[in-house]
Amino acid sequence: MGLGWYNMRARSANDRASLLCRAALACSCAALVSASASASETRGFLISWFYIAQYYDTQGRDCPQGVNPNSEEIYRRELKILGKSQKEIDEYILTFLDNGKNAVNAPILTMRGTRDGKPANVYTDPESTRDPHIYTVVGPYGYGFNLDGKDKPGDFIDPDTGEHGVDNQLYKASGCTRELRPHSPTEYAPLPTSYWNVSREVMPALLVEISGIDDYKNDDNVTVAIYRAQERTMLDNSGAMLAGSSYHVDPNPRWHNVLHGRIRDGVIETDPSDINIATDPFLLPEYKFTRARLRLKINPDGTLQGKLGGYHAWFPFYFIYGVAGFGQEATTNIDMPGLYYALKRLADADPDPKTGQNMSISLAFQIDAVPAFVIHDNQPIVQVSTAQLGVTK
Amino acid sequence: MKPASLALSLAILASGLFCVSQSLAEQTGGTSLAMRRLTELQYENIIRDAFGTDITIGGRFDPGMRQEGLLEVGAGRASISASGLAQYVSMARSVAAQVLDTDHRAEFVACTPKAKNGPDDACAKRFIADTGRLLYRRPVPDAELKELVSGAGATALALHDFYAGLETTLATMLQSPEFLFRWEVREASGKNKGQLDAYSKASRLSFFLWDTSPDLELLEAARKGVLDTQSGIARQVDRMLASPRLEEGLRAFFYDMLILDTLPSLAKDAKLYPKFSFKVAADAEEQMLRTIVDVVLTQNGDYRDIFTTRKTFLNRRLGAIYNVPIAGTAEGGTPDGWQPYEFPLGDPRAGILAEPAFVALHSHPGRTSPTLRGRALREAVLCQKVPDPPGNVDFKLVQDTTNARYKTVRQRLSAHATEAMCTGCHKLVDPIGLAMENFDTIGAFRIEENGAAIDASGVLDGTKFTDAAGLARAVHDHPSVPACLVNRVYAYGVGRSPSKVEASWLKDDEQKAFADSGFRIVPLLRQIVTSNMFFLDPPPLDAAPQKAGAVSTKAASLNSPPRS
Repeated sequence: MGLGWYNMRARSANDRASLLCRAALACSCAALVSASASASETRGFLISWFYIAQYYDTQGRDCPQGVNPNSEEIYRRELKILGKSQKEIDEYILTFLDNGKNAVNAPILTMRGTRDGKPANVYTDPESTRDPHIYTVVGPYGYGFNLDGKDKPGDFIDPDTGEHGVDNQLYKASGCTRELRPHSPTEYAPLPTSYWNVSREVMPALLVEISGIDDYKNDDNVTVAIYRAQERTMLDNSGAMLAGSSYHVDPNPRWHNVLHGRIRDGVIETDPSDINIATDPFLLPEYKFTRARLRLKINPDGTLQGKLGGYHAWFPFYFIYGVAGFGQEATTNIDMPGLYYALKRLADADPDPKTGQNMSISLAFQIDAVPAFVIHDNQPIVQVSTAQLGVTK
Repeated sequence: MKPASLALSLAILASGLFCVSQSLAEQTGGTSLAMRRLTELQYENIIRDAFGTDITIGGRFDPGMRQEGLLEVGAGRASISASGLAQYVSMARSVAAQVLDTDHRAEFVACTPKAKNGPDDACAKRFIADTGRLLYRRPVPDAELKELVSGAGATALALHDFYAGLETTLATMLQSPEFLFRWEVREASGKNKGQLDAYSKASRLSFFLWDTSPDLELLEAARKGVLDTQSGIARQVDRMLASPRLEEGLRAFFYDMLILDTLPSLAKDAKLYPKFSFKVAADAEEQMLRTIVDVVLTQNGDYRDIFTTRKTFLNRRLGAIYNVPIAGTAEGGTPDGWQPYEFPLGDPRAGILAEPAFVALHSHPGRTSPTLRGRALREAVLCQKVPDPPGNVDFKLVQDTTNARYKTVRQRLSAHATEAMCTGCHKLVDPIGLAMENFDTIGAFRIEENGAAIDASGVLDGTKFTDAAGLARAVHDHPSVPACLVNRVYAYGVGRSPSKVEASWLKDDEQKAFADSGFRIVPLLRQIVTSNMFFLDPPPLDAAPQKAGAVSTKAASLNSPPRS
C-alpha cells in the first residue's frame, strides 16, 4: 500500500497547478520512498507514540539477574528491615492493596525513611532511606545515539544502526523494572502505554513536519519541525491515531522546534539542538531535551518512525512516578527510592558546579507517527484532493 | 410499560384512528382521505416549533417504510408497532413534563389559573385549544376539546395541581392519532369539492416545503379561507419559499429520496476500515445534504449540478477519509467544524455520487459493490426499477476478495455475470457501479485493488466514460434525472405515486417547466404547489391541469425568491 500524505501550500492560486504536478510526482516518491522528487516537498505527521525507547532483548542479555522485585517482594523486604514480625508482614501483604485499609497500611511504608531521627516520607524524600540498588540494564544493546562521541564501557550498541558508544542511561536505569520494560518484542512497556493512552486523548496533538525534501534518498538540507497542535488528537474506530487528520500548529513559539537536518540513505537525521515538547501532567508537563537530535525514517506505508536522543534533567523521570507515592509503588511494582537512586547514580551530564552531581541523563525516545496534515495559520492551504496523489489499497 | 397497559394503549389508538377519521369527516363535512405517520424528523420539528429547542425528546421511533422509492409514500401505509407506541407514550410524557415544569409553564400557558392546586377550566381550555391547534394542525374539535378540558380538570382535582392536569392532557394529545398521523380530508361539497380542505392544504404545504406543521400564519390563512383560492395559496407559497425553513424542507426531501435514513445503521469492518465510525456516517449524511443545499438553494443552481459539483463540505473526520487538509476548524479544534471545500478541475471527486453517503452507503462492510451502487443510482436518481436477484444465486465468486485470479471486483463480477440468470440485471447496474470503483467501501480514493489497477470505465445508457467524473457528467446529462426528480418531488408532496393523469401532466408540463427554469428547484416547487393538481387527491380522470393563477413557468422562475 502506498500512501501519499502531503501538506500542500501555495502563496497564490496560481501555484495550484504546479503543486498538483508536484503532488503527482510526489506520489511515486511516497510509494517508493527512495525515489527522487523534482521539487521540495513537505510531509506532515501526527505523533502516535512518544516515550522512552526500550529495547527488548530476546536473549535476556539486558537484565541477566532478572527483573526487579514486584511490590509484594519489595514490601516484604522493607517491612523486615522495619522490624516487623513474619506474622505482621504476612498480614500486611494480604491487605496492602485493600483501599479500605489504606489509611493504616500506606503510612507504614510511606514513612519508612528516616530524617533527623524521625520517620520520613520516602517518596518525597527518597534519600531518607538507603539505596536498594535495583537491577539496571547491563546491555549490550540499547537504542539511541553516541551523544558524547566516545565509546565508553557500559555504553550500548544500537540494535538498529549498529552504532557503538550509545548513551542511554535512562534506559539503563529503568529497563529492568517490569512495568517499565516491554513484555514482548512487539509491544511497548505496559505502564508508559497506559499513561500514553490516557494522555493522548486529553493533551494537544504532537506534530512532526519535514520540509524541504528534494530527494527522499539523500538530501543535505531538510528541515524537521516538532510542534504542539492546537487540537487534541483524533482517534479512529480502533482507538489508534486517525491517519490523515488535520491539525493547526500552536502559534506559541515555545512549542516550535525547528531543526536542520539531512537525509542519508533514506534516514533523516538532525543537528543537535534543544527541543521543548509539551505533553500532559500525567506524563510530564514539559520535556526539555538538550543537545537533542532526531533519527527518523518514512516507511513505505507513509508512517514515520524513529528516535529522539539527547539529555534531560533526570529528576523529573523519578518525579512522574514518585509523586503518586505509595499507591503508585504498590500497584506498578516500581521501587521508588530504587529508581531515584538509579537515575541519580547513572546521570551522565551537566554536573552541579558545587556538588559534582550530574543533573542530566542521556536518553532515547521512540517516536512513531501517522500521516497527518500540519496546518500553519499564516499560510493558505491549497485545497487539493489526494485523489491525484494516488492513495492505493 | 406493562403488557396489559400497552395492549390497552394499542386498542385505544386503534379505536382512536377510527374515531378521528369519523370525527374529522363529520367536523369538516368532508371525506377523510389519507393519513401519513409523522416521520421522526417531523415529530421533532413540530415539538421544536411548538415548544422550543430546549425540550428534549429522546426515545426511538419505528423505522420508516419505503415504498415507491420514498418514505413519504410509505408513511401513508405505515402503522405503529407495540414497541413504537410504547416509545410514543414515553416521549409524550417526557415532553409534557418538560413543557409544564416550573421552568417552562409560564412560556406556554398564557393565562394564570385561579388557583394552582385545582382545576381552572377556562385557563385549561385556552392552553389546550392553542397548543392543540399547533399539534393537530387544525382546531381541536369542540367535543374533543370539551373532553380534554374535563380530563385536565379531573386530574387537577385529584392531584391538587392545575399544571399536573395540563401535563396529563398534553401527554394524551401527544399520543393522539391526530398528532401522530397527518390526516387529509377532502371537501365533499362547495366550490372546492374534491380538493383537500383548507387545513389539509395547509399541512400538505407545510410538510412539503418545511417538513413541519403549519405555522400560525398558515393556520390562520386556512381558517380565513385564504387557501381556498389559487392567489391566496400563491401568496402563502411565496412566503414559505422565502423562509429559511425551506432549507429544512429540501433537506428532508433529499434525505428521503437518496435513502439517507439507512446511514445510521451503516457498519464497516472496523479492522479493515478503522477510519469509519457511526460519527462518520452522520458526517456523510450532513455532507451530502450540505452539498445539495449549496447547489440547489444557496446558489439557486441547476439541480443536475449536484452530480458534478466540485464543491462540497468537509470536517476533520471526513478530511481524514478524503486525505485532504482541513483548515480553520471550529474553536477548540472540534472535528465537527464544517469547512467548504472545492476540488480542482478534473478531480475524480465530482458530485454527490462520489461522496461517502453514496459510495459507502451502497457498499458492503468489507468491500465495495458496483452492483449495489449501480442499482441505487438507477433506482434513486433515475427512478428505474431494478429487480431483486433470484434467491438461488451463488455469490461466492463475487464475495471472494482473496481470489488470486480475480483481483478486482470488475474481474469477479465479469466471471459471475456470465451465469445466465445474472447477466440481465448486471448489465443494467454494473457498468455504472464499476465507474465508482476508485472509491473504496468507506469512500476513500484508491487506484488499485489487491495490487491490480482499477479500471473505472463504464457506460450509462449509451454514454461511455472512463471514471467517476465521467459518470457524473453522464448522469448530469441523462434525461431521466430531471424527470425522476419531478416525479419524486410530486410523490413526496402528495404522499403517493402520481396517478396516470398526474404522470402525464408532470411529463408534459412540469418537466418542461423545470427544464425551462434551468432545472432550478425552487421554481419547480412553486410550480407544483400552486397547480390545482397538488390539492386534488386523487385527481379525477378528467382533471384539467391548470397553472397557478397567472403565473407562467417563466414567471415562476423569474419570480422565485432570491436565495442568498
